[in-house]
Amino acid sequence: MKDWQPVAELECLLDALEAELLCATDEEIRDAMGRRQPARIAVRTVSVAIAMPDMIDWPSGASSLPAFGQPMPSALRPREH
Amino acid sequence: MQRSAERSQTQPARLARTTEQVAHALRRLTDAELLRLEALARLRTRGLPGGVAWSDLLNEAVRRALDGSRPWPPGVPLLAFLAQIMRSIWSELCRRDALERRIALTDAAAFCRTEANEIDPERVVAAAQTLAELHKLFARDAPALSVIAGLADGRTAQEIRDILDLSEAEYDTIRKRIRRILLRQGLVGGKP
Repeated sequence: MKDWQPVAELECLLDALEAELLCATDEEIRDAMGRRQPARIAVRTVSVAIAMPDMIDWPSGASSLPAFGQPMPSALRPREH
Repeated sequence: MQRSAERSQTQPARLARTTEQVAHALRRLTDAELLRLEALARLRTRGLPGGVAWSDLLNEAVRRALDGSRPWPPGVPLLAFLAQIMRSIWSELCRRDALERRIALTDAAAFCRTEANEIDPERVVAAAQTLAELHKLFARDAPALSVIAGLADGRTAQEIRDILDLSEAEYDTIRKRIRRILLRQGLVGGKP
């Protein structure tokens, strides 16, 4: 059991730090982050792109899904096999 | 028959409502909440095998929330829900990595004899390295480091206060510093 100690400790610590992040106030977050904007996530799935348009790092300057009939950004196209 | 037809109609409707609720809640997240989400994802990515990026982890958590593979329990705040999903993915990835290494290192017969809880030295080393990195974040703040050590031991707030002889107010002040360090340092670096 002792050999697993670092793994158990890491799990405990990550859970505890996660709880701290969850209970941090918005003010604490703004104070700590200054004017930093949330980083964007690269588009991986259409559903995420639709649900979180402001969080998405849109390819080729787009800011939302294209209108119907317009070509889809390559990052959102289904992979060809 | 009719009942079964009703069930098949209500099931997708229930799923769609859940998806819609999750999507609606995600769209309403403020910048501060998005930063908090980013910090949670970055924290959980620490020590993950295979160089998984925090945005991959977050994307996968959001996808699971949206497609209903992880239903959003009533009464649980969205960020706590997404944090739970990221935790599950983190555990899955750690387990899968350990399993893949065992398969690669042992022949089939030996693998069958291997205990599920057998120690995986690489996972232990990776965990020790990640722990050291996290401790390093708090290296300049001795009281915070002591609290971190207590948290890693799985101790409760009361136990930590008793051991370190801290009042509730002192403990809360240290926790506040921990949060500040975590937010300032924890959001720097790492894979995008």
